[in-house]
Amino acid sequence: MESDTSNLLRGTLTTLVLSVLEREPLYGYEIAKEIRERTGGLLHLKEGSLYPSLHWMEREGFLSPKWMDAERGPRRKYYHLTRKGRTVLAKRRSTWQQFRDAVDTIVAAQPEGRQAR
Amino acid sequence: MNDHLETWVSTVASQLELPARQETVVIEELRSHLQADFADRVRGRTPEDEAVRATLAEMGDPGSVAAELNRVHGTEGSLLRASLGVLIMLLGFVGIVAAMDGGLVRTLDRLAGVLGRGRWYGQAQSSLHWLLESGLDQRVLFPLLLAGLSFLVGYVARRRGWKCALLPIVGFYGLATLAALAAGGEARFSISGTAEYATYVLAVLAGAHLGARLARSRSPYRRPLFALLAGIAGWIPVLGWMDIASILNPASVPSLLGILILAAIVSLTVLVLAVLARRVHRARD
Repeated sequence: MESDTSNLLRGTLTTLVLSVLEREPLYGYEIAKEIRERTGGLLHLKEGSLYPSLHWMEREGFLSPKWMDAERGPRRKYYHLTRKGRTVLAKRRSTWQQFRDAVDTIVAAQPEGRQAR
Repeated sequence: MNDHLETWVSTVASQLELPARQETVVIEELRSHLQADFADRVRGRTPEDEAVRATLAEMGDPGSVAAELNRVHGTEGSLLRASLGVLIMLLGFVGIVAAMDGGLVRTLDRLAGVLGRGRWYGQAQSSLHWLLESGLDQRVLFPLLLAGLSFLVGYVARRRGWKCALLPIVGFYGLATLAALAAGGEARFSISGTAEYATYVLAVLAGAHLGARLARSRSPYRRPLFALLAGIAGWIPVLGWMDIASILNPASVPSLLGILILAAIVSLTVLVLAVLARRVHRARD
């Protein structure tokens, strides 16, 4: 089950991160925590793999980083969603909904025809 | 920070192949994550040993993390772009040599002579243009020179930050503008002139882009390539400064002073390049 969700998660990580950051800027640890908590622990990513994705999104201009001092411990790198990031998120959200609907029509459908025979 | 967490960070650091500045930032971010996660767990009354284990388990294998970060920050095809940069620079170098008719002594004589000739913008062609026109067409060579200079700026910018690179650009153009104003040069508009300046702008952008790309390259050829390009481009500020010097004091710069200025500029250029090379060296090791 975990490897199933991991595979699905890999393909949707960008969309998830952009969605989480839509509400407010967060730093890496908070992003991972937010995804885990909002999905009730179902989507549990290896946190080390989050950073390459964040850096890729930063390079693509979807995110803009800002270092801020923490109350305790080292300063933190907060990621803000850029205008480009918002545009990408809107597109990905739309694509995801279409994709989900399409998959649902196949996966969620009951095999009524076969039962009727 | 806990020793085990620090070891994880050190393992990632040892496998990263990024410029030093970038690597420091990446490591700081990972360290911040580990500390936050660990502190959260300890606050939740998890015993320290278990908190460390869980935190590290969440982060995953340090080798994979480093490899992914290298992949994301690596520049595919950077060597190709660097090769293009070398080609452009070599063309520029060949042009300079051709323009000077070869020979160090003769070149120095000519450079010194140019400083005393009294050529400046607005009244006659500048010394740099005069030099270039005696060899190749300035419309080809001057953009190449600009591209070379921008290449260095782009390279430094990528490693030291764009703000750092903006200073020499703003400084150079600011000084050049002031000098032109002081010399009483007049601005004219023409289509061919605009096209020429557009070519210069494109050359600057292309050079800066190539420099930035090379700076991000993880190729083992990066350092020798940079040394080669820096050596070639070392002549550019010399020629550029001569241009400004002739604008500032078009008629009265004697040949001896010209040679002294030239020697000072070459020394300064070598010093700057040495500092840059040292930074590159430290960044790689």
